[in-house]
Amino acid sequence: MSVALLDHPVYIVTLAFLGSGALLAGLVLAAFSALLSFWAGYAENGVMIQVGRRAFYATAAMILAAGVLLETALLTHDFSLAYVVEHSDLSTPIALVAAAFYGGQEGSLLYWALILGILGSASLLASARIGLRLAAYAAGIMAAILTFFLVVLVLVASPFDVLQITPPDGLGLNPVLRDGGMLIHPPVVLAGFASFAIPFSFAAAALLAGRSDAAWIAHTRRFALVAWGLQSAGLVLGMWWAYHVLGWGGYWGWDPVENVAFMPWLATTAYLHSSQVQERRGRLRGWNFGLVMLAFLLVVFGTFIVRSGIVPSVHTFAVSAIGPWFFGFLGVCLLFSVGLLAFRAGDLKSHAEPAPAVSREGAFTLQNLLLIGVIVVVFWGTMLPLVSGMLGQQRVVGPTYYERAAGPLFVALLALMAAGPLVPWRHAGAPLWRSLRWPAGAFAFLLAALLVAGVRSLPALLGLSLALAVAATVVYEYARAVGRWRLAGGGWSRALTLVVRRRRHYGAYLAHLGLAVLVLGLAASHFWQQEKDVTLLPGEQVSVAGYTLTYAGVQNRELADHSEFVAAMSLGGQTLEPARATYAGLGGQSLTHVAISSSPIADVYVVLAGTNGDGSASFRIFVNPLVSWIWAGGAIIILGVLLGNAGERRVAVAPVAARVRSPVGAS
Amino acid sequence: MTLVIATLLLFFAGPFVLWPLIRTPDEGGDEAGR
Amino acid sequence: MIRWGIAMAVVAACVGYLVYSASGGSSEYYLTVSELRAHSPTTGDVRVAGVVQDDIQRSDGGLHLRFTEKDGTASMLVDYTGTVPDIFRPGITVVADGRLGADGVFHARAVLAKCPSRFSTTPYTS
Repeated sequence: MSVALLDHPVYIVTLAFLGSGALLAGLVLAAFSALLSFWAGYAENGVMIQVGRRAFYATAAMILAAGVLLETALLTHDFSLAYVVEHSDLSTPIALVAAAFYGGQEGSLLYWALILGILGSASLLASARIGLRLAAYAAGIMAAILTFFLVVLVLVASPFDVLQITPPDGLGLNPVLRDGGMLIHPPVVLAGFASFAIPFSFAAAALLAGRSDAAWIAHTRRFALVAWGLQSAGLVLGMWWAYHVLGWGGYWGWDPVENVAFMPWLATTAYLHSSQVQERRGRLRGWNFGLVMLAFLLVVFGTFIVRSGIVPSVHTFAVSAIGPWFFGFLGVCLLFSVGLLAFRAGDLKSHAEPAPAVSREGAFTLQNLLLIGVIVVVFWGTMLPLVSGMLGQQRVVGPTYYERAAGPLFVALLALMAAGPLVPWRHAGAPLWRSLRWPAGAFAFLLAALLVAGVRSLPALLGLSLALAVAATVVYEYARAVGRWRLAGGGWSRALTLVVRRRRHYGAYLAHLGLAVLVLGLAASHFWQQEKDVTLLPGEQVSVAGYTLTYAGVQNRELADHSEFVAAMSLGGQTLEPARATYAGLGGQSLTHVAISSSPIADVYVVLAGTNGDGSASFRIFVNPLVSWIWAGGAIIILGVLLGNAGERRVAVAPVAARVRSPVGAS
Repeated sequence: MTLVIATLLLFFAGPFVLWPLIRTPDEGGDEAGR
Repeated sequence: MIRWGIAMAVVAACVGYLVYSASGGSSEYYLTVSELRAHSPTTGDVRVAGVVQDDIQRSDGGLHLRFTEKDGTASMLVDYTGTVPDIFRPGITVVADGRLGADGVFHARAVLAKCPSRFSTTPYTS
């Protein structure tokens, strides 16, 4: 990573120098902000806390400037920068050139830091109610994390490295990455990863300051929800991208890269629920702090795994220079988190009585245990190659392991999701069994229907029936709300008021509904996928799962940066065009364009394997039931998050029992 | 050159960051902040 | 508190059992071609990593492939029916999942290739 000496005087300002200068300034400001914020928070020096916070904003501004400069360099094809050369060329479509910002190692690190800077600044601006010292500590921690990233960006992996000789053209983007999914999926997932740092910082700050209260809970939950929402979107977009582009008919492979995106999401899911117990009764505090910190630690761990090359994966990981840096950072974060939790262990014990087992609190506690269980399963599967490799012959596990080990846990979680919302906070009595009729009825109905239809696989029977039960519970809750609204007199304005006042509630249930729809889509497409390999001459037909496709013939098409063989197939009235594209500029590498005919019932998914001399073409055809429900479910989840999180000013729930002890000298 | 740019940028950021100090030069103690 | 301690222990035991039984049944050895030649486990599927050589033979419209995987000095003929990832071509690293047959040919039920590196830091050299 050497910055080359230029053959003209160094006082000529180029974009590369502006960018690296901005990053260096950002690094100084971040370190200054971290040190000052911690000291000023400890000394409760209001003026200095302000200065430290402004330094954080200034850091974010520097990173933003660097980002703008990098994007400008890409869009103007400034090939004096190594990064621009490595990730774009003159023939790449402009949208993908722009997307190259986060497509490579250095750029994605810059993007990560940018998101943390922006969201971190937003979290500080919104922190008026939680007290000066707590906010100062949180600013210090976020600034410290930014300092690490800026150190890596300045010293190890700079996007502004300059080449000795400016080449006339770049290397270009790999054809597999030349797809719309490239525009959306990486930035959302990267933003999700970065955003887990915010709740972590506020949780650690609360432990450092020795206090947490209703305002802190609301603030931390809000940003945990932002992170959860981003990560949910990122995961679904990733599945959508893999499905549409990679041509293997599936959308999730339990690859380490996927797993490390999944685990923080699981931890945060647990936190979003169990933090409600803390809000109402002041209990499960140890769990909540632990879960929030675990989510971020898993993010750092995941970033280390992805960028260090130590675990075999279908995603190439070059054994890069930044691996050791992230390993060190992981160690520091781990020590810091464990140390803090141990230090405050006594304060985290709750003074309230534990609720009875069959109660909302009990359900959330069980949910915590089950989700931790899933994290353990996924973590072990991801780490097995590394561990086994160190002890002997390297072993790997495939999707079967994850399905067998996590499957029962997911089933239990679905059952909990179906019953949980109906279980009261206090004692569960007769009304519970009455309201449980609805999910139980839905479960029994679908179970019977599936058995009659001949389904014998236990995972399918349980998974689908429970998902419907979850949906039934949500519908029941909404129906009750409508009933109350009618009773109160009806009318649009009252409806709006009711929704707005309990929007957190309704937003959450909408997210549950979205998850139920998504699970139905996952289960159906997983258990009942059909596949057929066939070679056809023009005019011949093939039948898969009741769909009949007729092969029309092959066409050759020339486009701007590639040429295509298109094998047209007709399905009913539709034409599908599976193709193989050849990119001349990249040594003749060829690429599949999958043709998908989507309907709410099923997707017909056609891959062109190749053509033969005699005019025939070979295909692999999949019929994937209910796949579009996965994408629909994801969209509904996001809607639920947006509804539930919209502009909440007041602290939503008044604590039921004793509040967490107030701090001495709180501001 | 990177150092020059960085120093320049810090110079411009300075007033913004240190504004709370400039604003209340005599009171170095606790100021109820924003 | 004791109640939750028991609940935790029960869940932990269940998870432990699930992990143990699932990984016992479905884990595979992950070998390079040289390691496979040296040890050649006979039970169960294995995954073998190597570099694709120049002699790719496609038939059946691209649905059937025969190619050689090589690692260091050891090479291995792979027979596979199905579609391969787009990036598949000589020079890339693949992982073949399957079993070595008595005929010395590796019969793969899946061929995985490494996705293009987005995080490679190999610098551009002209």
